Amino acid sequence: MTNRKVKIESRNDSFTSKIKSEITSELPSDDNEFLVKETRIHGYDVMELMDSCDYNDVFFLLYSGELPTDEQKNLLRQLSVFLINLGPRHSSSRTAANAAVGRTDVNHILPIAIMGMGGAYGGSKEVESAMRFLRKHAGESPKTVAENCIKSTPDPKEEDWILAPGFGTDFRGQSPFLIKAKDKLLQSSPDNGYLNWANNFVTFLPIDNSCGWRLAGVVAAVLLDLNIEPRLGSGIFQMLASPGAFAHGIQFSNKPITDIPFLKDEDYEIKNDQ
Amino acid sequence: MTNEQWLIKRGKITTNRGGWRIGEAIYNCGYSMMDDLVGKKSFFQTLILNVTRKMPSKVLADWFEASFICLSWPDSRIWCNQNGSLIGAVKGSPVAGVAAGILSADSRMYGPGSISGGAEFIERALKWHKQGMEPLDIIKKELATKQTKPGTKPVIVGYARPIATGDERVEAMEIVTKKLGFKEGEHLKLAFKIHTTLAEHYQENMNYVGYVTAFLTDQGFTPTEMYRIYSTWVHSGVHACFAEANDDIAGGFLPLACEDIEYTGVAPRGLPKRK
Repeated sequence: MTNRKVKIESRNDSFTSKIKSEITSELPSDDNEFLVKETRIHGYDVMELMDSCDYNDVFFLLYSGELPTDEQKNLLRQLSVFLINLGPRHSSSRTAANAAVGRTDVNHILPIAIMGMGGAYGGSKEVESAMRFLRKHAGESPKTVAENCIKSTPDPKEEDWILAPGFGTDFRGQSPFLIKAKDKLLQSSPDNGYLNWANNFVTFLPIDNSCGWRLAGVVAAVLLDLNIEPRLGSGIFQMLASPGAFAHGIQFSNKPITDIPFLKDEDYEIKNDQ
Repeated sequence: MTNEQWLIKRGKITTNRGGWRIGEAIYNCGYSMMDDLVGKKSFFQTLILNVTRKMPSKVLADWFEASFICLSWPDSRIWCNQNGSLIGAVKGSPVAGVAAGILSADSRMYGPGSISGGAEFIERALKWHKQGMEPLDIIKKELATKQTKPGTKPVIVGYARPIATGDERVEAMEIVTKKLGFKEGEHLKLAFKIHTTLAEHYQENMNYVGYVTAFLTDQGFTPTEMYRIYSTWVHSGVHACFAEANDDIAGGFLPLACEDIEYTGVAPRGLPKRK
């Protein structure tokens, strides 16, 4: 075939006629097929879950298909408390606050906050990438992996040195708060798990250049230790970190616009270097 | 190294894009918006200026406008459009509906999310071609780098399309390209060679992203610039789908009864006894 012109043809893909769910079964009410008389999540009656389980139990059930073991429950509890508030300086809180003080419809504050935490630098994209990195390399020697990372990623000097997603410098330093949280999580993590492997891995990173943990590295390792797949990691991070971001945003929804700095012209320099 | 790079940016913004000097002017990349842009330049010229800091010619901006029309049609079965419809049907705001549609198209399979992959491929392909590789060798080499699930066909970004084979938008944009007086550059020429070779050997064709990225690479745009310019690519079709569903009865877009969902999970079970 030499002709550029092509015939447009359907692939005739065989699409399903029904949406499938392995999570939820809904029993229709007797007189209206759009209404439900019983709902089950992975086989468990929601009424029974309401009596016997807490939020994290059902959260874990939704994504893994089973209720958590005591060890998983404790690890998830610690991680969710750690992530519930990334603080007012995190981009998720700031995007939420900008929206709220700008009188954005309050319906949109949380979605905007979640978009603000979606980045590959300190956000959920970095968590997902860190999970993929750890899953790929956790069977290898931490020393060799660290040496390869150092070799393949030169220090950019002018910004953070990120040797692998989730690992490197953070504002050219290491957060003492993050290290404390990591140490606490380490006590609840499996001995042969991802967090322990990563804890070994960082010992081979250039400590003189403040290389070590970034938030995403800790979160990624714990999520993997909870048997959570990398493709789920970014969304689960977003959900766990949403409460604090929303709280920091919504507090401005009834405040004057002057409650968030609007830089004076002398602090807003317009360069015309065309 | 310390944190000095961040310290110098605290409480201060330095921009080469522009801003508002109250009582003086609004600046866009060195232009005064009210004096130089409004009524004198098109929306697409201004958009591309804001992204790239370079003012494109009117004909190039017109090409972009035509290319935006092509990627957005009001078929509410398309995934991003359907999200506009669903949000319209639950009486969400039009901004939420359109924003959700735009975000939905940040996809590896279609829309602006596939731009970078397409642009990077044709850059890579031309480099290989200049090293002596023929289109079939380029295709084989590229496909060999693809990791796909067993049973699925590997694809080159920009050279396959979901739902259908072939792409009517390529032909339509070829007409626009010629009409506006553009000549085919080396990336686009190679893209068409890959297109015909793929059709012969793999029964796949260049799609719209393949065409657009090859053309714009010839025009000097980087993959990053293309991704940024096209970030809202699908919005027109989402607008249409949102509006129609929003005007209908609440919940009236493709309503699902309980039995429309096929449950494939575990059988009903009782809760285990907890310690």
